[in-house]
This record gives sequence, structure tokens and C-alpha cells, in this order.
Amino acid sequence: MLLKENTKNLQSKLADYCRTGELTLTTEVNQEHVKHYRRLVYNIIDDILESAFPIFFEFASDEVWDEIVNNFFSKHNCQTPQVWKVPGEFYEYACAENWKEKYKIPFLEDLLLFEWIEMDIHTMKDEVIPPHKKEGDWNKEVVVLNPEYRILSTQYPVHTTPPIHINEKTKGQYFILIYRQPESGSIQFLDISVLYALAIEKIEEGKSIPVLVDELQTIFSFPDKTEAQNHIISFLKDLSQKGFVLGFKN
Amino acid sequence: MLAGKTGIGFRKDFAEEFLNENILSPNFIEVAPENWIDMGGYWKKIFDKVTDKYPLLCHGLSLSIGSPDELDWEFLKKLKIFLKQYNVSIYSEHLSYAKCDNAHLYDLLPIPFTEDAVKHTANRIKQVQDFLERKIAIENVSYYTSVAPEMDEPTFISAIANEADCNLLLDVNNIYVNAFNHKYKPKEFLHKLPLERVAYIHMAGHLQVAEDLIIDTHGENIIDPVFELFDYTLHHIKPVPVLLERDFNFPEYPELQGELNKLQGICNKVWIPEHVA
Repeated sequence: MLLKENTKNLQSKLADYCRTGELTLTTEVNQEHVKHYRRLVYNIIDDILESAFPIFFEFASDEVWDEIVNNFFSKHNCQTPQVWKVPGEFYEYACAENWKEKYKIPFLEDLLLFEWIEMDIHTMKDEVIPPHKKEGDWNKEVVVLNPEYRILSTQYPVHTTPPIHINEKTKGQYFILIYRQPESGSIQFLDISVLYALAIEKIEEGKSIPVLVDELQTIFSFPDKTEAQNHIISFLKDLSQKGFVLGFKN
Repeated sequence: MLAGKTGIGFRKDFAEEFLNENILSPNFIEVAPENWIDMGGYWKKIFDKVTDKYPLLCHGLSLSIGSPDELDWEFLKKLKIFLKQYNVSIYSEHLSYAKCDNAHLYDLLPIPFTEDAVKHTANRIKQVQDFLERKIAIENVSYYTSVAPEMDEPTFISAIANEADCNLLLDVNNIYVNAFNHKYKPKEFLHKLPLERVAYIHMAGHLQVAEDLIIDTHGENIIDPVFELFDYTLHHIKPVPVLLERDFNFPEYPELQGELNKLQGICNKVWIPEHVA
């Protein structure tokens, strides 16, 4: 290391000030002008989080918002060199610090995850589209899915209900399919049942619809397997119109 | 090919109009690679279209060349691929640090102007240049306070550029801003730099926030004294690409194009010999 300890300490103190707002440099810097560094750095983080989590930002009081942004930026070491990926670190930090308990917002993690994943899927690297044909037999062949998606499992309906109306009565088990439309790149999300969530998981494993219905029979004990199969096919046909189901395996 | 030509910083804010309506006609565009590496979907499609249409130069934000922390080799690997993929002829970075104590700050902090920082930073530039297999250009940054300096700014910049044998990205607005903030004469400052190393120029607007302080915002029009300093500067360097930086608070597009035209006009006036023009 060619850098002397003294220089390193100066740099560290300035960086620390930008993160915490606590200035330990004295005569080494212009005490008035240095304040702009804290302001500018903090605003960058505040802006990126506000734009990534607009629903939570609207819901949180100014006091809570400022406290969590300050807490995150001063205590968490942001690892990504790409500022637009910081919201993912913010979500993980919120979970690690158990903010949902601290701030008594039980749906906090679900909401932050939902908002982050929407953004993440919108910007994620393009996946290789698996080879497929457009036409096929739903009752025999393996369906090919758009690979740019995630299924979230949440306890609260953060995707359908404004935060102010979310409470213990709305607590349950929700599955949200979030995907990126291949042509437009726009993000779509759908509330789906556990059956459809598991069906998608089985398709991902390369199973045809009759096979996955057989496997799901042990969980759901369908009174009529053909009817269950038709439901799943109908669901997938709808999703093929919406750009999530691409076709059938070649 | 881009020497003496003007370009603009490509922003998502005007991406669609830029592509579809020919609202601006730069000779090249510039982006921060950090904002586009790993990007897919809608924005990747837009980016590929715009880079098909215009030559791309890159101006980094997160390399943190003056940081006490280790260089981020994983990021550099991605960067190298990106620069090659998009045929980027100039990659520049700020002479500052943006990461410290293992935490990114996403803004540009001033490096203390010290002897050891010169050696440290020059050594890192050399490492980056070796890895990227190209010279990089380092930018004279605006700064609002010096940090326990042992030398003045031009000595610091020159020593690093000479020791690292790198190029300079000369930000003319930053010279003006720093001259105002730190009370020196911009033209004298200019002549203390190794001008033969200038490979690229940035021009931008700024905002005066206090009686004794200007912030380099990139959110205002370029003021006449900065245009004048630009004109003066061009007489002392070889033709290089010139970029108009505008990051927010966008004016009507004809006004922005007007700034580009004005910059191009000065380039043509100074750099194209009369008998050719």
C-alpha cells in the first residue's frame, strides 16, 4: 500500500461523514463547504430508494423514512458499484435488521420484496429464450415458459391492497407471478393460486401437464383430475396470450 | 474520427424522444458504464438501438481510482467486456474516490493532494490500464473543499497523469468552478496541466449556492465565461471530442441542441484551419 495511514484516515473520515453526517475532520477541511458532500451523497441514496420503493415511501412517515435511510446508509456497507442495484441491498438489510418488528409494520418485508423484484425483473440481464415451437398439444407436450420471471410467496396482499388497508385480517398466503413481457420489456404481475404456482414450478422441472397433475394429486387430492388439468391448461393458455407461456418444447 | 466533434450524455430521461424524434443530433453519445452493464429488458433494447446509431464513449463513476480500498476486479472484468462489446474508443474516470472502508458512496469525493496519494493513485491507474489494455483518461473533478493538501491541484493532477502515463479528460466547467471556489485564475491553472495529454473535454452548467461556492450540478445551461474559457482552452490543445453534460433540469430540446451547436461552432472556429473551412 503506497498510501500513508494519515491520508487513508482523512479519506475514511470524509467518507464516514458522508454516510453518517458526523464530522470528525476539523481544520483539514472547509467546515461549511464540506456539508455539501454529505447532502449530495445522501440525496443520491435517498432518491434511488424513493424511486425503487414508491409505495413504501408514500406509506412511511417522513420520520420513519429518514430514519431507515439514514440507518441503512450509515450502517450498511453498500457493495454494488452500480447504484441502481442498491435497493436489493436495502431489502436484504431491512430483513436482517428485522425492521418489520422494529417499526411494527408486519408486511414491510413483503412490500419491499415486491417493489424490489418488480424493478429487478425489469432491469435483469436478458435470459436466453429456450428453443420452442408455437403450436403443440397442451395435453401431451412440455410447455416452455418465458424465463424472465419470479414467483413470490408473501403473507400479505402487498400487490393488490394499499398498505393502509393491510392488516392481520388480510394475512394469508399469496403467490405473485411477476414477469417481463418479451417484446415490450414491461413488467406484469398476477395474483395466482398455490396450485398454479406449483404447476409453474413443475413445468420448470420439465414436466408435461398430465405428469404434473399426477404429482400434484398427492397434495391437492383433486376430485376430478381431468377438470384440474383443464383448469391448469386454461390458466396457461391465458398466460400464452400475455407473454408468459412461449410455446412448447421442440 | 470524433476529434473536434461534439456529443451529449445519453440519459434515460430523453431516451425515447432521442431515438424516435431526432430531437438532438450529436456526433456521439456518452454513458456511465455502471448504469448499463448487466442491464436487460426494455433499457437494453433502447441502449442497443442508440449505440447502433451513435458512437459510444464511456465515463465511469464507480472505479474509485483514488480509494484506499482494493480495486474491484470483478467490476473491471465486466467493464472490459462492455467496452469491447460496444466498441468504446474512450473510457474516462474521475480523479476522486467513491468507495472507502468497503462501502460505495456513489458520489465523487476529493482525494487529499498528497505525495503518497499521487503514487497510490498513479499506481492504480497503471493497473487499470494494464488490465483494460488501453489508456484511460482521468478527469479533473470539481471539489468543494480540499482535504489537508500538501500541494496544489494542478501539481497533483499533473504528477498523477505523468506518473501513470494516462490521458486527461479536461472538464472546462470544473476548472471554472474550482477557480471560483478556491480562488485561483482558471487560465493560469490550465497552463499548469499537461495539456498534451488531453484526450477528451467535458462542458456543463453549474449552480452557485453561496457567495463563495459553486456546485457542479450539470443541471443548468453553460454560462458565457465557461464558453470563453472553452474557446481559450481549444487554442492550446489538439482537437479532441467534446461532450455536453446535462443530467437533469432539461431545457427544451432546441435549446439543448443550441448549446451543442455553439460548442461545435467554437470547435470549428478554433480547430479547423481557415483554408479548409
